[in-house]
Amino acid sequence: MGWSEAWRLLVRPRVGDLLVNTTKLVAGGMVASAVLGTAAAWLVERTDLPLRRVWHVLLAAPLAVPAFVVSYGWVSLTSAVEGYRGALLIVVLAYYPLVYLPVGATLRGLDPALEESARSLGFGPWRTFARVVLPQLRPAILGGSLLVGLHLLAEFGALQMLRFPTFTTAIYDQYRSSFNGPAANMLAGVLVVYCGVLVVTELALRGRQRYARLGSGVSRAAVPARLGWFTVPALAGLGAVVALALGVPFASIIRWLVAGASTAFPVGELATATGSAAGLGLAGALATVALAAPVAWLAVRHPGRVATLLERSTYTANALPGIVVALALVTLSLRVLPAAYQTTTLLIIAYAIMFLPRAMVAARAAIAQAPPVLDDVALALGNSPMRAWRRVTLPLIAPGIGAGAILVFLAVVTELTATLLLAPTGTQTLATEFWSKTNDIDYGAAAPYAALMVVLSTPATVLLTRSVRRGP
Amino acid sequence: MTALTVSQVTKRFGTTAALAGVDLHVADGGVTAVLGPSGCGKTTLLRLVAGFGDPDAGTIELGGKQVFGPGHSVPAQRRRVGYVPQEGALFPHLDVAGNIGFGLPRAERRDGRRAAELLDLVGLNADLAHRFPHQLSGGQQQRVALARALAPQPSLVLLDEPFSSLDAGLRLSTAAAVVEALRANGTTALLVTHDQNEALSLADQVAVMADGRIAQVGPPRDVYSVPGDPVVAAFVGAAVFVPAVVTGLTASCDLGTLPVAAGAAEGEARVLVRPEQIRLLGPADGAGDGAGNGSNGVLVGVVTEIRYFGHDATVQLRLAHSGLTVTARVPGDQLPSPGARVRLAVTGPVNAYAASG
Repeated sequence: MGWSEAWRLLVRPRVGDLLVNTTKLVAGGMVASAVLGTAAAWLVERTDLPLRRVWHVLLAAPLAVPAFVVSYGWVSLTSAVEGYRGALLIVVLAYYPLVYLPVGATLRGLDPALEESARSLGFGPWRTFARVVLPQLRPAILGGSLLVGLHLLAEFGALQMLRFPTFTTAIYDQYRSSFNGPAANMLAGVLVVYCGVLVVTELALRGRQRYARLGSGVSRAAVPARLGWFTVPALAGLGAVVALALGVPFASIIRWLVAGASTAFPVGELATATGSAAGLGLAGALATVALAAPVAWLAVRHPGRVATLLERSTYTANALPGIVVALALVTLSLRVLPAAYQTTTLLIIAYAIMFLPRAMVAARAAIAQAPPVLDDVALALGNSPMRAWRRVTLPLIAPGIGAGAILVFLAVVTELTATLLLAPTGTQTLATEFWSKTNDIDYGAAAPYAALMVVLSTPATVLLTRSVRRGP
Repeated sequence: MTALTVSQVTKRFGTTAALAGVDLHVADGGVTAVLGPSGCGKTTLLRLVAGFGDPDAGTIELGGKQVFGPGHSVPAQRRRVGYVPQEGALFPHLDVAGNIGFGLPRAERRDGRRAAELLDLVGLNADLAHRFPHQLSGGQQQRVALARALAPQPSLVLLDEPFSSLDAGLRLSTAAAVVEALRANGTTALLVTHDQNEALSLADQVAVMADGRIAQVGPPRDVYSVPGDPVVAAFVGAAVFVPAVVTGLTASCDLGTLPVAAGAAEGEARVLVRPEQIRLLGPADGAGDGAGNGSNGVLVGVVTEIRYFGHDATVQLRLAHSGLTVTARVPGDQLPSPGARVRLAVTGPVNAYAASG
C-alpha cells in the first residue's frame, strides 16, 4: 500500500464522522465519570452518610459487570438507549468506578491535618476543598479518567450493541465485512494515535509535583463532614446510580433467565463455553504472569535504565485497545507465520500483551513486599541464597503474584474483541457465545452467559477494591 | 582472643570511597560501637563483615579464621554472624516463634523451647510467641530481631542502627534490654550508630569513624575526654575550642592558664573545653572587676542565651574582656538570668590540638 493509498483511506468523510463520535463519547464519558466518581468518593469517604461501608461495596460493584453486559441489560429492555446519549449513560455507569476507587483511596490516605491547616488559615469548607483537597486528588482523578478514556477507546461490545459507531467498532466492521486489511489497519493507526494523545495529555496535566505526605507519624482519620439536610438528596443520588448501574442489568438478566428457562437451558453448551473460557483464562494468566514476574523483579530489585524501560514498555499495552492488538497479530501472523493464524497460541499471546499491565502492577507490589534486607537476614542465619528465596521471598510474593494471575484470568474470561478476531474457528467462550446470541436478538439464550460472566468477575472485583483500598 | 579483626579494608562505590583503609579489632565479649555521622561508611563496614558484599582490598577475620582475603570470600550464610538490621526486618509471614527459630535446624524449630528461652533472654513475655510482627510494638520487634539473631549462637552479632527508628522513650529502654541480653548471653556485638549518647552509654569500646576511616578507638571515657583530634572531639559531644599558646604542661588562653595533658606540642594551639568544665561561680559584683581580664584569676561573662533541659541547662556567655563566646553546662536549678554578669571558672585539664587543624 502506497502513501497516496494510505492518505486516501485516512482522509474521507467516514473517518471524520468516527472522529467526532469517538471524541464526543470519550470527552463526555471522561468528564461525567470524573464528576460522578469524585462526588461519590467524597460522600462515602468524608461525610456522615449512613451505611458508608455498604455504599462503598455497591458503588465499586459495577466493575464486576462487563460493559457489554450492562449494555445488553439496557438494550434488551428498551431501544431508546441507542445513540449518543444512551451510549454515554451506559459507558459512564460501567466505567465510573475506575475514578471512584482511586479517588476514594486517596481521600482515605489524605492527612486531615492539611485540611485543618487550611481551615486555621481562614479558608471555608468549600475553599478548602477547592484549594487543598482537589489538588491532592488531581493525580487520582486524572489517572482514573485516563483509564476511562482508554477503556472507551477500546470498547467494542457495548457500543456495537447500542449502534453507536466509534473507531473500534468501525475497525471491527471493516475487518469482518470485507476482510479489508489495509482499511482496518489505517483506522487502527488513527486509534493508536488517539490513545497516545490521551496518555501524553494526562502525563502533561499531572505535572511533576509531588503530592506525598511530608514528615513522619501516622495520619489520623478525618472527622466526617456533616451532611445535614443534604443527606436525603445524597442518598437518592447514590441510590439512583446503583439502581441504574447494577439494578437494571441484574433485573434484565434475571428476567431473561426466567423467560429463557421456559424454553430450554443448554447445560451442555454452557459447560463447553465455560470450559473453554476457563482453559483460555488459565493459559492466559500463566503466560502473562510468567512474562510479568521477571520484569517486575528486575524493576524493583535492580532499578536502572534498562529495567525501567522494560517495565514502562509493558504499560504501553494499557493504551492499546484489544482490537488493535488483535489486528496487529492477525497481520503479523499472516505475513510472517501463516500457520499461527487462528491458533490458540496466538490468542494467548494477544491476552498476554493486553493484560500484562495488570499482572505487572500486582507483581510489582508483591515484590516490593519482600525487601532485600530480609534476604540478608536469612543469609546471616545460615541459609543458602536458594533456600532463603524459598523460605522468605517466595511465601511473601506468592499471594500478590497469585492475585495478579486471578485478575488476568477474569479479564480473559470476559474478553470479547480479541477473542472474536483471533479464536480458532469453533472455539466458543462465554463472551463469544453471549455475543452471538445477542446479535441474533436471542436475549433469553444470552442471559445465562451474562450471569456466568458476572459471577466469575465478582471475586476479581473484590480483589481489585482491596488492593486499591491499601493505596498506592 | 579477637572475635573480629578488620585490616586495611577498602571499598569504593563508583567514584566515592566508602571505606578508605579500615582497621578494627574487636575482643571477645562486650559491645563495640562504631560511631559516625551518616555517610561515613559505618553501615558499609558492617555489611562487609556480615558477608553481604566483598571489600575491594584488605582482610577480615572472624574468631581467628579469615573469612575474606585476597581471592577468597566465605559466603554470608557460612560466616555464623548474627545480623540485626534497622527496624528489625522481621519476616512478616512468620510469627514470633517462627522468626526466632528461622536459623535453627528443623527439629529445634519444632519444639519451641529455644524460642521461649530467647524470648526470656531479651525480656519479652513467652505469650508473644504466636503473635505476628505487625502485632508488636517497634521496641518488641527490635528485641525479637535480636532473639532471632542470637538463636543459632553466632560468635558475633552485628546491629545496624537498631534503635534509630524507635521514639525517644522506647529507645532507652529497648537499648538497655538489648545490651543486657547480649551481656547475659556473653555475645560479642558490633553496634553501628550515629547517636553519641547511645554509643557512649551502651558500649565497652567506641570506634569513631569519619570519612571511611576509624579515627579513634577506645573506652567511651577516653574517647570523650581525650579525643584524638578536633573532629572526633566535636562529634562525640559538645565542644568549645579556644585559641591558646601551649607552654610545657599549661595552655594560656582567654579562659586563663589551664593544665594540658602531657604530649601537647608547644606553641600556638587550640584547646578543647567541654561545657561541663566551665562552672558558674555566681554574680559578678559591680564595677570592681569590670575588666575581668583573668589576670587576677577572675573571669566574667555576660549571659547571652539559656537553653533549659530540666535536668540541666546550657548557658552561652560572652567573656567581658575578650568577647569570646563559650558555652557552659550548669545544673537546672542554678540558672542565671539572661543579660546577667557572672563569674566563671574552668576545672580540670584540657586537650590541646595544633592550631591549623
